[in-house]
Amino acid sequence: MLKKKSKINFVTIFALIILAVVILMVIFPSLFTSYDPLEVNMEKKLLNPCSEHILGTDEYGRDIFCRIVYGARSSVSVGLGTALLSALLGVPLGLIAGYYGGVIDNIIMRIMDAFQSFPSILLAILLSTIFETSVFSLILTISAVSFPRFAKLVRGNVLTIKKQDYVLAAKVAGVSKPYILFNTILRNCMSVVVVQFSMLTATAILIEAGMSFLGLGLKPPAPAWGSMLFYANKYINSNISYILSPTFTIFLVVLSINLLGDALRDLLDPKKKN
Amino acid sequence: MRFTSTLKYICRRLLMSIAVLFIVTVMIFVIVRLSPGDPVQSRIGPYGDYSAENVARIEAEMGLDKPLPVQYGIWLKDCLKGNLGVSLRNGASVTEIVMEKLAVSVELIIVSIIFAVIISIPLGIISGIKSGSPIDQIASVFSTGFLAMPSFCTGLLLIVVLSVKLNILPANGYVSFAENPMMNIQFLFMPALTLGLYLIAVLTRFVRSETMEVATSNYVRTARAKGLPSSMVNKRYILKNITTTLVTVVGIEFATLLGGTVIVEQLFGWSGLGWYICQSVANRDYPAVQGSVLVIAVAFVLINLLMDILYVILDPRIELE
Amino acid sequence: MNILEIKNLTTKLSSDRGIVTAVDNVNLELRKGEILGLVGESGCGKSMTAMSVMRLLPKNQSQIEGEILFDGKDMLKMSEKQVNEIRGNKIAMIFQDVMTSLNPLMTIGQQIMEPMMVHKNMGKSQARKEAIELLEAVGIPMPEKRVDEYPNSLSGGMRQRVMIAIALSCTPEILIADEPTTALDVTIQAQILELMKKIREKYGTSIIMISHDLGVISEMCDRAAVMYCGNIVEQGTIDQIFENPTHPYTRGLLKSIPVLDKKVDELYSIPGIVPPLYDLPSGCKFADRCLRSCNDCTEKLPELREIEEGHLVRCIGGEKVE
Repeated sequence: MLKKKSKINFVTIFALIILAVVILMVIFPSLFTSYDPLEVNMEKKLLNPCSEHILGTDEYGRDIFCRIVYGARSSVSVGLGTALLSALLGVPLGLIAGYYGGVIDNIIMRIMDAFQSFPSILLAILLSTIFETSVFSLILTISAVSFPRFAKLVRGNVLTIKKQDYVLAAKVAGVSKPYILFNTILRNCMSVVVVQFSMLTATAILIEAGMSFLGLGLKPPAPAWGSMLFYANKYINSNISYILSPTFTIFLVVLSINLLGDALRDLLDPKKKN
Repeated sequence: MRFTSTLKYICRRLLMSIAVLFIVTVMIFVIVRLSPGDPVQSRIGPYGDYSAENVARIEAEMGLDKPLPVQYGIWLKDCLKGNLGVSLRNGASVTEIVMEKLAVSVELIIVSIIFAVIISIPLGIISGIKSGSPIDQIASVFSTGFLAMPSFCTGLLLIVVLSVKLNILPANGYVSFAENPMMNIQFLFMPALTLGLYLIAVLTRFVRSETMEVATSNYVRTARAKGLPSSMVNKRYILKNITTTLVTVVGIEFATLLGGTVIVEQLFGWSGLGWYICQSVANRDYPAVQGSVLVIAVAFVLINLLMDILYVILDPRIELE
Repeated sequence: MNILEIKNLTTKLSSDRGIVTAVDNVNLELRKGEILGLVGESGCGKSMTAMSVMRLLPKNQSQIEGEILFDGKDMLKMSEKQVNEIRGNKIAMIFQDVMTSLNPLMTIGQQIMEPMMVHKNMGKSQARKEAIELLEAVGIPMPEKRVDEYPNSLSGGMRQRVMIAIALSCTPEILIADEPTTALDVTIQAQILELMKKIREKYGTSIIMISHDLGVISEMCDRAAVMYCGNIVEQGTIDQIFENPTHPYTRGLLKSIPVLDKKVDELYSIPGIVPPLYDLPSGCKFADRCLRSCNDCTEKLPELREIEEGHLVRCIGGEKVE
């Protein structure tokens, strides 16, 4: 039977709801919980989920749900910060490499290749040895791993766009090169940049979690999803909810961002729709 | 004509790879030099002789008294000779350790890839041909899920279920296959499954989209207009046309996993190269870190080069500029 | 004698904008040995008619109703297997997109041999011999050498010849050519058209020629049907259509052809645009653009009327004009 193809499905709505909740957590964490994420209560340590602590407590008796809520801040800042910094670094490089071509293109792209010759988690680990860990250092580290992707993507796009008739028309009309580059071409790259931005936010959250899991994340006592994993790993036998809570939170958030990215791609680029 | 242009292309790719490798070595050298911690101190140890002459002697021995570019040159020359230096931890040859650990990682990666390829190719092709069917929808939920699932999540869940709850597999550890094949496979099972599930997600998605592209292509339309049975269309047209890209994607996935398995290896105590790098970073064993990372990056660049060359040889379509 | 009869063919497709009717109640017959033209602007349903006949539309995105009688048997009721015995064997098709219609990973020879090996159970060496002969017949120089080459070493015109060789490999009774020359240079176009005429003479193949180019239609065809928004609006012999065009759309099309020896200041063009399939007007679909539409036109889709023998027109004002 024939069906009408729908544009927005409930999966996208689900993703949007999850992300809206996360954003609320970042801005108004106290809406969700009355506990203090740093309050230690050794008498109540490693409790299993109960009516008072819906996800139980950690090894210092802190409420796990509360730490998840407050942990959203660092994960989201790392995610968005990385995507932003990567875009700021990668997009201009890609534009320049793609538009000018030749030697400039070759040099930029070989450097990008070099950055991409390391598995991202490995390069992140390496770079993390240089800095004292902080949200900013994590952003810096993970951006160094991710910006080449932006550069390559944008460059590829520029290569196609610059052959389009409207760009040629602009050139013939005598419009200046930088204007063509940063206005005409950049505007037409925007859809891939937006999609990549969302995808990168997810990747950054994953890498941050991975680094934290290896003990290279934010230092306690500040709440962060990745670091919770690192400490919870030791108590896997006594309180499973301790480790499952951040695990599922990260999973859900990353899943939602990916779904949103897919939806954005379909929306912005009707040709690639499957 | 095709032959000479292919040859030209290969030469150009080779030159590019050499340039990339040069930048890679500089990057590794710089990062390691920027890292805090004094290699001399690590070498002497907490209770060693810290007299000025001894420190100066060890600095000279390690070449640390020379200017940085010279140090880089010496390091590069040694690397080219296959000498990655000695571990600060135990004075063992980094080259030897890295090769040994590399083999351990490769075992894990190859098993995961084989597992993933066997499942994802048929699954992806069926999903692509019958897009929208129940099997496609299940496969798509599965891929979307595991693409968002960080490897430690999958791994932890497996540990929780298989080790903690059911207690049928050891949570972590490593025994070499030569030593005890049974134990080796037991330890291998969970990390390989963790990586495998992720790879299935990646590859199924890839195979599906490639299949869909090929299945809606004009040449498949021609094939159907010729009245070929669908099994023949699937085999000669769809499978054949996705194989070349699939081979290169699997190759690149393999390269990415070298060293990209850090988390899985750490989680399951699978003492491969990723695990070794983690240990070395924690121990501030810089020659070991430097050596292992270099091997991984070189392997990555070379595998990529190989895949690119393979691609142009396998696929007559590729336009060679 | 009719070799193919299309009766009340209606093809619906699912699209982003809902379900659209790409082919609306089309009736056509193809006589043995004739060349029938299908004319119209892109999107008018001429290619979709051909794709429906070949059953090449994706099943989950299309719905085809009506009857397609080939040798008296309804192809729409056949199983995929039965259809496969006809496709490429009794009815062959060539396409417009010459650059992408050949498998880039198979040699030309392999692609020509396939239908013969499948439909005629021919052995490999025999099929290869035939393939070389076919290449020669369609005018490809050095066929023994070309047979082992990949499509990407051929030009567009050469590829279309290969496509024709594939289509002819099983000496089909019907050849459907969907804009076979549109993507080619003018000089190559003429050669390909010449080739197709020769094929008809040599094998007695009936041809359905789909084109937006009235020049091609008038040169090639015995009869033609003009399509607009899924409907046939006028049908008749080439002389009837070109000498006595009756539907306002056909007249508009003919009027918009530039004539070499007549100097005009401005080329004629039909006012307005083709309405999108998801937003078709009720009644006559051409009414909005028609200079002589009246209220009756927008109320009900006019029936096809026979105004002289074999000349059908879908217009209520047919005879009144001029």
